[in-house]
Amino acid sequence: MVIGSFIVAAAVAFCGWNLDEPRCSDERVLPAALTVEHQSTFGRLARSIRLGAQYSQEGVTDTWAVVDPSRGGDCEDRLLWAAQEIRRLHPELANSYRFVALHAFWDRAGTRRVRRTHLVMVIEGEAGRVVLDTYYREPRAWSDYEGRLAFSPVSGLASGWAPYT
Amino acid sequence: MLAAFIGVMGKRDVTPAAVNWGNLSGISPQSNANQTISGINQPITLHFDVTITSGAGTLSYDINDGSAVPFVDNDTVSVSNGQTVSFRASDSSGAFEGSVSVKNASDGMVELDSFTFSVFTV
Repeated sequence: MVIGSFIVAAAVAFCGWNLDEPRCSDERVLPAALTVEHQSTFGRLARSIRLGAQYSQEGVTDTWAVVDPSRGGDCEDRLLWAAQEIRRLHPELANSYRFVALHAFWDRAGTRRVRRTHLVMVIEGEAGRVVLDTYYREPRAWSDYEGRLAFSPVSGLASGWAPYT
Repeated sequence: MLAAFIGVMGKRDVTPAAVNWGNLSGISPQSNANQTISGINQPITLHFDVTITSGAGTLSYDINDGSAVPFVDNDTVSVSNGQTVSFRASDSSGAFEGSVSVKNASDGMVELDSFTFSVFTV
């Protein structure tokens, strides 16, 4: 279960930034039987957390606060809010999601290349994974993210970025 | 006379005991644990070789838990026996990634240790 281990590792890396978020302190990811009701919630949350801007403000430390998306926040804040909603509405999913920092793409700043990153939430379903991504209005299929690099401090790679394979 | 003086003062020792700074990775900023410079009997000069592979940001060192001092490639700092040294990386443009080689400029630029940094904002 290589993919699962990366998800866990990515989640653990964020623990120091949001101790109130249980998915930062619990390494277990329990696949859940996702129902139509769950999917409906994911759809509503995806529409709520959609961001107009695609990047965090440069050089500003992420605060990792639960922020109602109607009041602002960037991807991690909105995903923390979505996680709170999931736990409130579907407590049975409390151990079935993780936050994953993805490599988005390589950019350029002068002569130097720049890695752009993005946080998503992966919900572990028994029949497959669902991704909440603030770039999109609808939940995404895991297949849209397959092969992407994700941050994993225990990958053994110096950079900490390892492919989802 | 000189031999007698050296004999009194002891042999010049500028080779510290092994140090091992941890890699800096995760959500920006990140710091590693203090390493103690020990086993030397006079101050040594640390030299930093910095290689940046992505983005931009700030690297800094911290002596004896004092204030963080930013450094760039080829900067140096003097440390004495018993002092602690740690490092911190924070991003300012995209993921800030690369490596730092910490060399002993007082001992033929021998590498004391190296560490990588990969810090980012989501």
